[in-house]
Amino acid sequence: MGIPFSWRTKIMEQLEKGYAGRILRVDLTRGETFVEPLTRELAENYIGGRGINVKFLYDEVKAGIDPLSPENKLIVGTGPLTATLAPSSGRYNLTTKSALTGIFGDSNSGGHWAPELKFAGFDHIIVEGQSPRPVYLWIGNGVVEIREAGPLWGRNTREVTAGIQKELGDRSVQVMCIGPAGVNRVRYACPVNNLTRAPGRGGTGAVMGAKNLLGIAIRGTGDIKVARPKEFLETVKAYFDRIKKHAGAQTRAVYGTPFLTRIANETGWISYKNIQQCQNDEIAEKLSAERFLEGWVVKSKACFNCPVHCSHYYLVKEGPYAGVRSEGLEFVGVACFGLKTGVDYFPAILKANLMANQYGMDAGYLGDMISWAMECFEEGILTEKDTDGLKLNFGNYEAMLALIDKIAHREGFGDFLAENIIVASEKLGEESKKYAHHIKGLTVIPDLRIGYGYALGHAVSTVGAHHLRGAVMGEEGMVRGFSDELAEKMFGTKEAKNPFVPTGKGKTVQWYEQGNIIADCGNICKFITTPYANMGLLEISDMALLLGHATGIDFSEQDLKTAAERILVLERAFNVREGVGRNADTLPPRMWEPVPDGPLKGFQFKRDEWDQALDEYYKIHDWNKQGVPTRKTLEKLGLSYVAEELERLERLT
Amino acid sequence: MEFEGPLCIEALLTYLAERYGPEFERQIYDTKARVLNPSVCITLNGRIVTKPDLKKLVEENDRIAVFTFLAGG
Repeated sequence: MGIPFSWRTKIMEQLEKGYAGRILRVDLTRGETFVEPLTRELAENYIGGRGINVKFLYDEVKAGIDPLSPENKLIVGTGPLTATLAPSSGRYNLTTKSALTGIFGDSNSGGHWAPELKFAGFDHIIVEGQSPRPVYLWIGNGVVEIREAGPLWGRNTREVTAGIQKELGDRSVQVMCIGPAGVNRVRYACPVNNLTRAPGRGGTGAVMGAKNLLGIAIRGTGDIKVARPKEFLETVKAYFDRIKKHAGAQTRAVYGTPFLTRIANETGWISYKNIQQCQNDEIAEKLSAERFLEGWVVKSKACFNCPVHCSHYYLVKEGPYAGVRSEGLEFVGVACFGLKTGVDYFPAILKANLMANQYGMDAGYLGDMISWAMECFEEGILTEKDTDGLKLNFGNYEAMLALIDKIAHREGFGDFLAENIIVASEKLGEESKKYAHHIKGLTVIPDLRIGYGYALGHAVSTVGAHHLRGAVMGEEGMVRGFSDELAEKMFGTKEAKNPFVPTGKGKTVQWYEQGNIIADCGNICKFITTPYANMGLLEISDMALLLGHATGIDFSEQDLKTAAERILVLERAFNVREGVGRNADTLPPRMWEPVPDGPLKGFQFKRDEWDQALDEYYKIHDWNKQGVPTRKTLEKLGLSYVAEELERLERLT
Repeated sequence: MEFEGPLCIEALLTYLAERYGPEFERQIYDTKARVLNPSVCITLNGRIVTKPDLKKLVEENDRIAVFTFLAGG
């Protein structure tokens, strides 16, 4: 069921610097694979990674299809910097029509899996159809095979990874696979690579489960060539120095993202108990990064070629969860299994994180569904009769862990919570919707009431509520620290510095969007880029230089910004095709309420100011008042065919 | 910490720089240039301190936090 190919042979005018130059297509229905070139035109207009992924998804997946049907496609995208000596270059995007939200789905993961794909000779994989039997894809040097999954189907991700490596006779094989949650099509299932890394958001695991695709195993030992090796190496060295001296990077290197627990508490967004409380010193101390490091961390852990090494290996040595060991913990794990559920027992949080990894579920969404259910339970909307006898009070970690198991296997009450929050709250009734914090079906992880830019970035994100798309992370202070002159220069007004007014937020969100898109296209980690991680890291101009030395395509800063705009517009158009418009660019009910406590007590978003921020954002992008890209914008970006389609669908007004 | 007499935030940072030495100055606050490291965030009772706020007087039981900006996931 596979074809060998001469992977070192030049195909047509394939790119071969930075890029591997090849796209692997996999038709699971027919059990066939074939290779096509990655063209220079694609690279110049969409760069790589997330950008090229959305181009294929938009062009090849029709509007209105069921994400779990064979008509959906699953697209893996590395970038031209992946697997090179560029710092933090171990990432990939996984793009599909989301099984969770029904709109554009895209997520990013680190670890070591993506570089292996480049070493094996591919930049992208496009998976379509549905296999008649559970299978996994094996990509080696010069070999692509579709292999029977056999008894590995339904096992946890640790067992699947070890099983595939054993079957292939090589422990160096890199595996990305689903666990029981994906097999059972839990809506927020995700695949996991390297046991603990995941493109978590959007239900890509459910799409894989529906396709009967257990995973993708890769072993590659090829070279990655760059266009200008001497200049590339000099630039890379300079960037490594910059990163290693950077205070933010240094903090992250020691504490990882759990450092955010204290920041969240200090600045009033700790999101305690399903975002009921905004500051809580006791819980912030108990779930602090320092406590994590002292109690359970064994050593630091890095992704491929990353000088930040923000992750850790942890081990629980004693107590009821003795033996629990895994990698992490990210702030999302602390927030969603701890802060939002009211659980303050760290070993239980570490256990929950491990379960999410082994079962293959988005830790954020999983924790959010549980904390929603907890609030419904405390309010009497759910009873023990509904919850299979589980007492879902905030803080009950035993119930939380039991529920995670039920959800992954769709057992009893777990089956109810395995759907998305819109479906679940619709079933439970109007009262429950007040506690369902989501935007377009993707749950809101942190309290958004720290400023208009932060909230706006979440609301307009093309995948639903997400902090890694356009959310103005610096609302905690970075943009506020700009001089008036810098704020005027960058955003057109010094009011952009003030998080509590809507003015200037359209432009600040755009700044974040562009930086994040370009990072996702080159495919390096956002933790070393500006603006996402901090000032003074890799800016768009730095990315242009790096990409130019790597690929020989000398993108200017403006080229990258234009490409970023094109990519964002295509993602937006995908959603417009599905009927998404201005009404969906909004906030969940609690986010409209005044902040109840903490340093921001009393602050409240106002509807007319929200509209002002949204209007400004649409205007910056030259979209109409409904948030639909205009014909003029589409044509300017070379997307006339998209304009034609949107007009046919009567979405272009 | 306890101090005698009124103290503004800037003076507090200068005191901390003297106490913790050159590394503090390099990482947090350059006392000569009187400039905060742009990677650093200071909050006073949970509210971000910007340059004009450095002259604000610190009052009894005020809470000051110093940390690097960090985004996360």
